Amino acid sequence: MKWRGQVAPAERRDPVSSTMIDALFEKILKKSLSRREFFKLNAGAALAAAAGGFPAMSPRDASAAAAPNIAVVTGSPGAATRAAVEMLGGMGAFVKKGSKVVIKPNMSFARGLESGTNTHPEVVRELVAMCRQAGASRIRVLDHPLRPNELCIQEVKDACRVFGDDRMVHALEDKEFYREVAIPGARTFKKTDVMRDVLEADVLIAAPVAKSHSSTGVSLSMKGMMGLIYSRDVMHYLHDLNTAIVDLCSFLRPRLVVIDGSRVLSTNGPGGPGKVLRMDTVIASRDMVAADAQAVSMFEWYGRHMEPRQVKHIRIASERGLGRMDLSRLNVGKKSV
Amino acid sequence: MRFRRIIQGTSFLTFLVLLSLASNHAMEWMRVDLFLRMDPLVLFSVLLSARTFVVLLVPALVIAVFTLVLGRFFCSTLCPLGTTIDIFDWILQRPRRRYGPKGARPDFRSLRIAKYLLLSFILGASLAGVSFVFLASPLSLATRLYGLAFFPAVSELLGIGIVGIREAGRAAGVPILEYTSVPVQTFSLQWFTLTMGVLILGSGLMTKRFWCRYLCPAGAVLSILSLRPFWGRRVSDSCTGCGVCRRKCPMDAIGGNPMHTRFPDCTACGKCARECPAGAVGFAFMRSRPVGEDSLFSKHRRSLILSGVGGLGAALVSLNLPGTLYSGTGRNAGSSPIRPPGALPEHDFLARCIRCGECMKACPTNTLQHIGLSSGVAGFMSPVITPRRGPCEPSCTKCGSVCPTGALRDLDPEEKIWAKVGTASVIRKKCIAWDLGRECLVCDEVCPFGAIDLKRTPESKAPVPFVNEKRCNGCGFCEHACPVPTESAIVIDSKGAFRMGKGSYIKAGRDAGYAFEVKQPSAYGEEGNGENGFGKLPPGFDE
Repeated sequence: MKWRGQVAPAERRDPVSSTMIDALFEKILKKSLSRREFFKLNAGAALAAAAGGFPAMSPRDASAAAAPNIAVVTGSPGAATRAAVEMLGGMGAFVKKGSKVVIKPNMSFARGLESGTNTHPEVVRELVAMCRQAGASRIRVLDHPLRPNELCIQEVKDACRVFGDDRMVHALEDKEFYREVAIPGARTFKKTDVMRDVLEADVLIAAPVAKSHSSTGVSLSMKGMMGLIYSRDVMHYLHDLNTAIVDLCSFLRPRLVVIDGSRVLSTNGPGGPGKVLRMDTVIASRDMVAADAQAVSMFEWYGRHMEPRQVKHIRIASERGLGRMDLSRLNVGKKSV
Repeated sequence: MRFRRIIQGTSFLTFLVLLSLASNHAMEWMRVDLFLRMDPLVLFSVLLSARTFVVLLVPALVIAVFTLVLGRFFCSTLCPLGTTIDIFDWILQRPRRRYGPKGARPDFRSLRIAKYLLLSFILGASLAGVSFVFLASPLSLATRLYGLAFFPAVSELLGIGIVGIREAGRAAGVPILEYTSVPVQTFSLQWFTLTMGVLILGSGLMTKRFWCRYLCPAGAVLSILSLRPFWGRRVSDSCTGCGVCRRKCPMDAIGGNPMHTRFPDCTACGKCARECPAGAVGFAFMRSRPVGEDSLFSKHRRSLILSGVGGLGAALVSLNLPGTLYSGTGRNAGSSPIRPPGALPEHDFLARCIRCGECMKACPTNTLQHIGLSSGVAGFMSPVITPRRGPCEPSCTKCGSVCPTGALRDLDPEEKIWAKVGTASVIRKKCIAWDLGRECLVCDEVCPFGAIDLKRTPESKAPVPFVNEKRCNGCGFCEHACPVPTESAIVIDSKGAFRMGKGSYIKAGRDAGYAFEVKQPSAYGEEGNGENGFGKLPPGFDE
């Protein structure tokens, strides 16, 4: 398998097709206008649910035919990403004209695409392309990696070179790029230093790769938020890690979650090397808990099927109303491209 | 002699540029340590202490041969410390020239022997295999001064400037230098480097080129070589004996009779030729070679011998001091520092290492630091890996590639991965997983070699880390990243380090049963056996 070959180099990309995609996208955007209004309502309900108790009206009751809570698309990473976001109403539902966007992929390792430790560069590139089409004024792809940064972010950086903005992809290691914030309502992890770009952004998009994690079970969108803060040490040392993750996610709440399941690091995560399953899947949702629950439930972990409740941070987040993990009561839209 | 100024300036800039490129991976083909390898003191001292001719030091041999012909030209043209001293002399002597008292300057001439005594001391110590050359080698001093004090200060200022520009840009709504930050290296013994620097440069307050005239042992080597040069200062008959040249000479190399030149002190800087009102002084090949009449050595021969014996004695004593590794019998209680990858066996390593700090300047993770006295006086200022500060990146071969004396071997990347520097061990009473029973896997997550195995044990609530010593190369990512505050709960010591003067680390490692590979899986959750508890439940999941 030559995974690396799947990333089309910049010069091979046809400029014509790009504009065609733009036009197509515009059309879809216009068609879904009425649906977008519904989403606003839906988002309001979700917010109410997050603040208080169980949602009064499950979206499935309202309109089963409308956008699903979770979109699961199989196909090549880029196409599946686009299709999954479109199933949720298109990027225009999340990114407005002039929005500042931060995309958070996994870029923590320099071990190659086949290791399943980093988000597929085509997923990131497709997200950036969609954000640009939706009129985002500023897009940043950011992570705080563990290893020397330039090596870790190289693949994503190469993939995003087509956009001609060399300030787009960054690994921020210097403390001056972070600002201290308090986390209101936190149980244990009450303050941290968050990337300034994230604090100033209008839209946060989580784009994790699906992988196992031997202290938190899995590392998906919720665990991935740890890549937006400066010091992770205290989360391990002072607090219960899973509780601290939920505290962090109560502050850093992505508007859109796109989980890259093109390759799933099923064992030995987060660093690997471990057993990598080729699943060619992308999962998208507005609800980070639901998206993570879907990934836990649909992929194999150490050769077994696991339930979302078996992942402590997903369970706590659901209990605290950050999102939903009751997949049987959620509307999961499936598609193949 | 504008020509000399041009050479001096070019040479100084080259020195700075090479040093600033030390950590640049794109420039790895360039020998950034060239200047260090031109130091004649290093040549002779390492020859004695390592008892071998180090091929890397051929440039110093070339300088030595040229000195036989041209005299101490090195000091006035190539030496970066000499140039720095010139700059500081110019600054320090200016106010005195204007406002200072007229009349005779204090005479330091009796100190001329000091540099020979220092040289004798250093070479005496070298005989015992101990290198004190770092104390006074001008190139070692200049490399430390610029690499470990000057450049970090420049980076710091640059960083402040960039932050200022960025914030001003943000305030004005113009994104500029958005993600630019300047890495600043820090060095624990910078104070020592600076103190030496202040003393040497400050000595310019007493007289010009004080260090070069009276103290520099490399200058002493060159002086001995230039007792009877073929080319040098010549005074024609038109000399009026006014003595301007004698007063202006920065090296005090002109005798009571201005016709007379003390060649061991003359650096051929050409100041006398420029200043001579009669135009009587020039530099040329000499028809008859000067007589090496310097009576200094015969007058002071007892002192010189005593100093050499003193150096030898000091070296032998230093080998017996606490902390020194290679003395005495039985198991040594002294600390055993984690040396950079490719370091020769300790004795040879210390005999060759001139503590110039080039490896530390080149180290991209800032893990290489001068050691204090913890490995004894004989090891003072030598480089050591400090994993808590930074890990040793497996793909990097910088330190060995810039070492001027081969104390660190220049390894290719494959060999480097096998050049084990130490072994990690878990301090269970500090470990979050072992002691607190909480889930933590940071050491496993960051280990590039898959050398940490997380296992469930009957008594542990969470999976706990074990070090697989056959895979641990001592890189220190685990110690660096361990979230336990202050001292890490997993630490590297030099146990098991490969210290080889020659031969392949890959072969030696394989023969000893090691398996270093940057991408291999670690052994947790091994299928089937259920012994480590993962047969029941994948790690990190709840029932």
